[in-house]
Amino acid sequence: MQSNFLWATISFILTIMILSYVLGDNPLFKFASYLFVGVTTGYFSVLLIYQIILPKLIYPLFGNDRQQFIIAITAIILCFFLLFKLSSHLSGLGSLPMALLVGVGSATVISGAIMGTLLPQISATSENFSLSRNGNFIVGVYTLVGSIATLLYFSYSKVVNVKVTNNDSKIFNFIRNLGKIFIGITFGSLFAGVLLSALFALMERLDFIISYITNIKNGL
Amino acid sequence: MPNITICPLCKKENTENLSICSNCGFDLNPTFSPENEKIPDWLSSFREESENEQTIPAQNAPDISSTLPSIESAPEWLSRIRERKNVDEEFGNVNDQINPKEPQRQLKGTDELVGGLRNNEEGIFQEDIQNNEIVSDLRKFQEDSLFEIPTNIDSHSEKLDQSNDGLQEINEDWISRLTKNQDSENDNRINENPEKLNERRLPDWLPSVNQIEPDSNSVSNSNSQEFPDWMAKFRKDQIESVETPGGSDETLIPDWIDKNALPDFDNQQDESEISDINEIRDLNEILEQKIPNKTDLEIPDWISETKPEKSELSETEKIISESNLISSDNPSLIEGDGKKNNFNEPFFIEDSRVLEIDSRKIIDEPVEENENLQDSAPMGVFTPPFQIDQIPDWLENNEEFIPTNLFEDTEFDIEKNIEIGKDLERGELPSWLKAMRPIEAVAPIISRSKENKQVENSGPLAGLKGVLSPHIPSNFSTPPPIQSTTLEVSEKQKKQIEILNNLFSLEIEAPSISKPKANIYEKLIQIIIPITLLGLIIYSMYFSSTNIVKPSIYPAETVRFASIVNGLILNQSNPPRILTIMESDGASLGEIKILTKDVLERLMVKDSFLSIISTNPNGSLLASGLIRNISDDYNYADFVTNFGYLPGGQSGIHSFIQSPKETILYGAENEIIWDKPGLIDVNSFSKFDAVFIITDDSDATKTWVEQIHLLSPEMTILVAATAQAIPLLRPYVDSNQIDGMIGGLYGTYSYSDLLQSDNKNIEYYWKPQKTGVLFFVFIIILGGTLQLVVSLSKRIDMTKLGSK
Repeated sequence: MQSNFLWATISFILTIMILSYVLGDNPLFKFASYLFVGVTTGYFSVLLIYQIILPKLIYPLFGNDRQQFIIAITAIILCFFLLFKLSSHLSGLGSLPMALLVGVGSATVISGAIMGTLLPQISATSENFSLSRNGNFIVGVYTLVGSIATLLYFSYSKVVNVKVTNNDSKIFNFIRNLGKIFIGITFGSLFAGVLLSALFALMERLDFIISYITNIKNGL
Repeated sequence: MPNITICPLCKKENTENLSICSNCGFDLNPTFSPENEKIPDWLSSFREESENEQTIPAQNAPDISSTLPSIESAPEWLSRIRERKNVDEEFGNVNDQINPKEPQRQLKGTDELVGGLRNNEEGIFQEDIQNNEIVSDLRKFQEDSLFEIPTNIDSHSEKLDQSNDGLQEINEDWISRLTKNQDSENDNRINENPEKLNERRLPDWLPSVNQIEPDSNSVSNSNSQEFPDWMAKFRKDQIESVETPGGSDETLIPDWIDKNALPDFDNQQDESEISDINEIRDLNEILEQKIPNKTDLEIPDWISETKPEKSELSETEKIISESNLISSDNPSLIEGDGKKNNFNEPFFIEDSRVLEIDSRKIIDEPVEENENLQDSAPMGVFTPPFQIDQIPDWLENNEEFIPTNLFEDTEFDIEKNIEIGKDLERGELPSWLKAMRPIEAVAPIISRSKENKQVENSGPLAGLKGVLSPHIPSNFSTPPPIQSTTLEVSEKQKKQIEILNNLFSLEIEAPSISKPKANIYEKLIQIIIPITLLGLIIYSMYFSSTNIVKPSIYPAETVRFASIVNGLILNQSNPPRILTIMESDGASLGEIKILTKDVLERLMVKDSFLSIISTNPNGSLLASGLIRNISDDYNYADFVTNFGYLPGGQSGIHSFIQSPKETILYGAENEIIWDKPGLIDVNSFSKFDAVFIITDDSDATKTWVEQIHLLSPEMTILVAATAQAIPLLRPYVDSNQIDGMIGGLYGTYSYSDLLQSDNKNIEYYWKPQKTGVLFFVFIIILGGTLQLVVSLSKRIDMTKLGSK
């Protein structure tokens, strides 16, 4: 009970310090911000030691699993090579694990993006034009126009040796402006979601403050 | 018959009295040669000397000179040998007339005499090298070459005079005794004065012939004046021996005659020299036998012609005596009667003295000496002490002994005389002769001075002198040229420089860091809006009495989510194994509590196995706390497995989906997790019944969805997303990649309403959220309207300004 009150008091104080930003940037807000960043970093460093280095690099060396032992040795060697990145003369040796990481990461991202996002999204968009599946044609057109207009908005390249007439430029600019509208709606929805989440967090903190004050007023 | 002269031009015959060719008009007796003008004075004087030297023996012995090559082209030592040879031939002619059967023997003796002379010269030369008197000896040779001619002339003239005067008065007795006592006397002389005999290089036996001719009385009188004291003692002995009646015939021969008649001896054991002595001995025997008959012979023509030429010889003697003024201390060989001649002292003493004087004059005061010489030389005749071309090559490089300023000084004197006008302008040296000059004659004098030589003290050249250049290299180095640093700048460029400097000065000046003073209205807005928002939220939460409008339309994904959860709970015989992926930060924890409370309570009712994993370091901790605080009846230790943090991002997710056992060995608390009840049968990712993603990070959720859809598309994906993650996860919901999703407070309220569970907690936040959303909408519309009004007012003002 006393521990809950203690942590509730600390939470109350830190919450007040963060909300003091309403009055502008102040040391209380900075202190609370630095405190959160420091606590998070410390926790993360301890977490890396106890949940990554020890269980994935050290413990397998003393276990009976040969496969894990080989993987651990390989990982240690790659980590050792990665330390050569600190030297300007021997940084080439550190490029091996970096190449491995970048290559594997890129392959994973690309494969996941293509097979997990691009193709399913194209398939889902095209289903709106399917009569057999009772697709919503209007939604399909809306999605198609929105996708094309958004992609054209991000086209900054220019075709060489192709004369663009005034009519062509007007149509292209119209589509680009249409894509700008779709982008605006998307960012508006994202902002609304962030705003709702922030508003929910504010309400939760106000509820905590009011509850804490009420409990203090009621004598716990 | 008159003599006929052949014209060298037309080859026609002319009489001797004609001076011009009768055919072509060529001057048969040219007295002037245009080439003489081109030849420098010093060269012409040298040529005159050579001509004099050539004419004298030619007058005495014209036959010999005609057979010899040009004296001009011959070196000095060769001319000297020629002179010797001329004298020998003259003497040979006399012998021929006396005894015509012995010419070859005489010539042989002459050749051997020359050979002996060369041997003596070489021996003396080696001795001089040892005594460091090379230069003195060389000069002695040169002076001998210069003075031997008059000496020979003198000897010839005296010999001819005496032969004409007292040839018949030759004492046959002592001459006969001469041959008899020759062997013994020679041995005695050699033993007494071997050095004098060795150093005597020139066979001075020819003058002794002159001494033979007078009688003993006259000889005794004249010799008292002509011979030095050191020789007088020997001379007296000779005279006494001659005058002694009881003496033998051999003792009557004077020693000095034998001495002078003998050639030089370097070594008595030398066979060649012994042969020379024998030859001379033979010659003396011949003389002893033939001289008594000399009175009966005719005097040769060339001897008779010498008398009228005595006056010419006297002129020549003058010229030579003038040329001998080079060294005033040098006693002249011919200085008239009764004067001291070169026999007053030994010849080597005189030579060394003369050479010392010459070397002192040449080395120390070359310019003055040359000036004096030129002044003293009559008619431009200049006879240098020695010629450059007579110096051997090895000696030309020796700077100490070469008067290298000889040409320079003469040139300087020529210029000086030209300027003063005292002397005629001398011709310049021909180019070919200048090219032949030694380098020392052209190089600066200072480079050849003795003081500039340095002795190397160290290194491989230590001890050597004058090997390296004594000049300091720094004296020859010139300082680098000073370049002008000024630039030619035009006025236009100056203006451009000013503009550029102004631009840089503006950038160099640090901008004021002080915050811009906020407007009062802005401050009021910054304070009023949050306070208003807080007031509305507080009011709506605690003081609002309006009814809550529940959602009338449930989202489709929420409905699917509820049906899937119900199917997992109700249709499974065994408790479902749910992989709970927590991709959220602490800031969203309040929202996530409300979102996941009904779902987790429902899953806990059926004792579902929950496995927690997160790619966010804080995720597993939040999920653990979230689950712990939901229900106290739920056995957290048995049914909840915390994999902890999954590193590697997409690669880690990919690896975990492929082989979860190999990717994660230990749990968040470093315990072995794969032995827990919820994971006993889980060997692969597909063994999980469903994946429940609690997230406020749409990117992380998208990655999970992509990799699951790629590797395990059959897997059921349920998502509980906060409001900020809904927009980006909606496409995956529409594409059915996410099977069910509850998003935001609206989805939570719908899910709770579908389950007909207690939703008081949700209603507690529902009204303030509504109020807050309305306030934000109002603020956005108000801000947009104000921005529109301001922009319109500016545009109107611009149009007004444009119209005006």
